[in-house]
Amino acid sequence: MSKEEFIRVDGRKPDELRKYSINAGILKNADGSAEIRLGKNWIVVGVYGPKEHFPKFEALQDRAIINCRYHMAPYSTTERKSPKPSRREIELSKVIRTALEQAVILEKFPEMSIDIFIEVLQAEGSTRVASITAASVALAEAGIPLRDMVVGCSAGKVSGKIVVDVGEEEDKEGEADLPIAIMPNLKRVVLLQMDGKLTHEEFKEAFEKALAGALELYEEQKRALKGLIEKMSEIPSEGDGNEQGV
Amino acid sequence: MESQEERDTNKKMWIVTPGEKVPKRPRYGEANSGETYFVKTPIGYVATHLGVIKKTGRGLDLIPYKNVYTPRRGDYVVGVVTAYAPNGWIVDIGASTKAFLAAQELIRRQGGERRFDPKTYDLTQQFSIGDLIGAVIYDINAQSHAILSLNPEKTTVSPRHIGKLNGYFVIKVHTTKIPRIIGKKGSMIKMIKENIDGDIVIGQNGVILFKGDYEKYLLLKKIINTIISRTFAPGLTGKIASMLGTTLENGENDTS
Amino acid sequence: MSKEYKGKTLSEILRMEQARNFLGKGMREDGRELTQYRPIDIKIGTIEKAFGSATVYLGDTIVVTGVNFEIGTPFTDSPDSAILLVEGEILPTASFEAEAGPPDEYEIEMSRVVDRSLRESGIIDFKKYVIVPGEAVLKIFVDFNILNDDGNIIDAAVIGAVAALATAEMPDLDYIRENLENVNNNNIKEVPRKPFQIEEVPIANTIAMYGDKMFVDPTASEEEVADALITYTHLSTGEICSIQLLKGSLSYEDVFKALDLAYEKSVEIRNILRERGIISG
Repeated sequence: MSKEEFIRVDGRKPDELRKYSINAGILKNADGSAEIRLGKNWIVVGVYGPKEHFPKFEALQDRAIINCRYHMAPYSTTERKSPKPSRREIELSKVIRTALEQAVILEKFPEMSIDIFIEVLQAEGSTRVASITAASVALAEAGIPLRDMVVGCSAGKVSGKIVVDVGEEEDKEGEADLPIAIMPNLKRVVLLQMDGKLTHEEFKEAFEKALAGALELYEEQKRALKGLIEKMSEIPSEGDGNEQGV
Repeated sequence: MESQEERDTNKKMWIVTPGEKVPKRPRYGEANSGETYFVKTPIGYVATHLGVIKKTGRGLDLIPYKNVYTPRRGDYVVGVVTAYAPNGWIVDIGASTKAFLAAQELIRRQGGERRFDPKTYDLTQQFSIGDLIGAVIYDINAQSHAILSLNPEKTTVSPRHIGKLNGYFVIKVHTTKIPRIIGKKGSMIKMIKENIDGDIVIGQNGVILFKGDYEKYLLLKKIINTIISRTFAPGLTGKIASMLGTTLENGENDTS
Repeated sequence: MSKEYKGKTLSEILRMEQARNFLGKGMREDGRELTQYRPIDIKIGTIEKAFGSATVYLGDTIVVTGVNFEIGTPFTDSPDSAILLVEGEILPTASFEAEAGPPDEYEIEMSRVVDRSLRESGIIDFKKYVIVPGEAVLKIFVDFNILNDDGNIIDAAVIGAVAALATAEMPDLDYIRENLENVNNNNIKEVPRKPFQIEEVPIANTIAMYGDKMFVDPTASEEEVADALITYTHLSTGEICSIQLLKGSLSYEDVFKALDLAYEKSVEIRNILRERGIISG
């Protein structure tokens, strides 16, 4: 595609993600946990369960129920956000939950529930997809069986250009925002939302950019998880000293 | 030093994350504790857990980083009474499903002949909510509930570890760590028991109980933490031996 | 008992089983083609007290929409912009499962998808309805209720909102400007009226998947058994203004296949609105 170099508000190239890092196993009490930093976004996820579902009459006899809460801290945004869940947060909790449900093998835990708590401590755009990316790492860290990881990324149209990983400024000024989440190995879309205005061609371009971004973040998810095992493969240096790590 | 054999073994091992495809149909074997960590998908078999894959002569094994304990027939477990059922107790064994202990089991264990009668039998007099119970999983019913027994027929579990358990220190670990704490053919736990005075009880559901000196308890905790945090490290048995102030017998060093 | 049957009546369970059997064969329980909508009936002005209203019948799904106008204070970050408020509710009459009380997450999602479909479409020129810049603007309320839920309520609600807005009459802003002292939200309905003008027509189309079968306009039982549901909203220009994956997952190819089908259906529904004289052009 011929296109002169287009520089974004924050100096990024159209295909460039913000700086990112994912860490797994950061909360001692949770069965699984992870954090993601994507630009100024800082999101922490704790997973608890599977545990017996209450109230009992709501439990499902053939599978587990996922409870998912996406929540923004009052100090996470420029303008203080009321800690009470907004309609937006309720909708996002639902779309994040259904996205993750596609990957979790729920049938293994009848009558149980799995709690996923997503706390957005600092928000800078594209929080829903970053939340999903971290939540899926937390689920894997909890040892909950998954068909695939779930990883998300956004794309958007800003000043007429299709760009990946839409930041807060770009989202405000932009013409369209397209968050997606996928199962990268099974090649399925589990979250897809769009608002703004896009032609079919622009949608295709944005979808492909978001997909490429998600695949890049998938590598980071794997790095974070594999790091946990690598850490456990080392014998501390004190001691006999004749052992070696893998 | 790493031997040639060890290096070869290492080549046959790799780390997987959920969703990663495995080269062929994996083995569902006892090394996986009867548990499967693979699922068939339209793209073939994929791993469902983060873990280490080992290629063995018989196929692929996945040693998970963590898993959720799935009750198996014959497992000795330690749980807590959380509720009364009409004819017994609901026991939380920290598993993927609930566990049930029938009052009849206790009557049998106490040598009673009579049939359980809800009108005369006071469940609360026997076990109350919060009690620590050791039991063996007798069966898994159709709804995947674990049915507990206090009268196991074939078991290596000492009778004093069955029923209500009092006065123990409790260490809870992830169930995936239990095989490592037990070691190959029980080698690790044997070494630990030989070198730490006291009563050590290992529940397959990740509950470890200890009765003995406080100092010994702290040492046991330290040993277990080392095993947990270095699960995939080679030469772990040697490391633990040195922590216990003992030496390894020949050929006991493990490579897994 | 599987998840979908929890809390369902026997007749619903039977209908779901029926839907499964038919869709598995590539058929519909009501004799429709996979890509065929149910009959659409749109009645205008059904609520006389509102500035604009419409009742949409999509098969057995019934949506009532009312449009109201008030004078409001603009948001500080957009002082020269009218305000649009879209809110939808599934009434307890709508189905066995519907409940009175605060909306649940499905209701909130549905309502927010309809909101985005309208807001992002450019159906309203927000700059046009400023009374006094920075001080007073037109506040546009679009409230819709699902009276009977037989599926595909988003498609029906967007049709209802478009029809109610397109045929609404608004208070004459020049009159309000001249009588600022006397006009308030209590007497705004007595202000002389002018036709409200819409600039664009968004059409939402929900595509359902059952196995490898793709179909449109799902009934409630078809929605229950569907593996995936996705809504695309199109503009007259062929552009997309809103997408929402409501349920399940899709392969990458199906995202685009469903998009093409949704566009095709949006043209069809746009023509129906034209034929009935609800929109021009």
